[in-house]
Amino acid sequence: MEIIEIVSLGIVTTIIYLLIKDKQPAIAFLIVFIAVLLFFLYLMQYIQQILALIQHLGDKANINQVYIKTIIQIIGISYLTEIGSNIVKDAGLDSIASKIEMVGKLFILILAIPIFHSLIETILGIFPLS
Amino acid sequence: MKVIAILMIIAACSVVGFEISNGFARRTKNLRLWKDALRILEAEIVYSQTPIIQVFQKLSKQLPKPMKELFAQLAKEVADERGDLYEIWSEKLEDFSKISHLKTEDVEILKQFGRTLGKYDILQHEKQIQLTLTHLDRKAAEANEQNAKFGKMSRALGVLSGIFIALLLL
Amino acid sequence: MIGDTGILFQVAGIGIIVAMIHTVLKQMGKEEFAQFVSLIGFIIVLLFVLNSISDLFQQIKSVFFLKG
Repeated sequence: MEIIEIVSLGIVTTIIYLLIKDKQPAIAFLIVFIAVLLFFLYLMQYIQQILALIQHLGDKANINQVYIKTIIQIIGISYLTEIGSNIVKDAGLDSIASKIEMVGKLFILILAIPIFHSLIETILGIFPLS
Repeated sequence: MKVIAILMIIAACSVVGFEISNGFARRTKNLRLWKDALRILEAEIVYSQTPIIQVFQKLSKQLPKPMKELFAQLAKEVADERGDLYEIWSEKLEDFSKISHLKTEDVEILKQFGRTLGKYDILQHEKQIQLTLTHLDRKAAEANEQNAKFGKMSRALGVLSGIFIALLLL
Repeated sequence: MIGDTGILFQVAGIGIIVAMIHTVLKQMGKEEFAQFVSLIGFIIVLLFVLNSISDLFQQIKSVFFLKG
């Protein structure tokens, strides 16, 4: 039952945060920061397994490796943006968090361009226009 | 093994803190002793008119530890006529200031007093002793205040910094 | 398995000790020293956090093929 570890870590972090918040707000925030990092590091192990599964399925279905890789990269970018915006939001800076998310979305779009490009090519191949 | 190292670090830093706090306490105590010494000196010079060597011997008998040796040595060296009284006095004070945690300004007051010792008549001596006593009173009040203020602080800081370093190295 | 949770308690300890030193110094009227100690404590904790955040980013990079 690893969920118990996570829940207890969260509770302990909250208690320590409440203890230090009045005296040292900066260090209290860094404690929250560390807890967030620990959570995400914990999640990484499982995400790795899921990604391995996706790759395996893709291989079996004979999908081009590039597409699978792009999708995984998109997931990675969304994950990173999530971490960044979560931490910034914890510090109470919602405006910067929304900017991080915006940049993340843009990067996802940029990564998707090659796939989109090949889609257009395929469509153009089906309807010869000349 | 780790626990022992941590305890040693904390103990070392605590000892440093206590030593600093002790310095403040000793300064206060030594200034008080010097005031006593000057009062006895005044009584001996003004009322009994004892020679200076015997005064020093008497002082070394009456006063507790750190002052005892100082006056005993002073009496001995003056008796041996190893030079001017002021020279011996300031030389011994320099040695004394190293072990007594007195500040240079305190030692300076006492040296000034030594300069006048044996140069004037009884009335002048009494005035000089009174002057030095008021100076020392002021210094003693200052030392007392500092002792109350920084004595506790340096002890707490010693222990806390020990724990801090131990935590850093954990 | 959750990773190294010791760092959390270490940072908490540093925070509490720094807060105590801050209080002691402030009581004795050494305001500027108290501020200085707080800053140093913050920087030290920040160094710890820096290590663990670089760990996380390295792992993300390797898992999601985000190299380069």
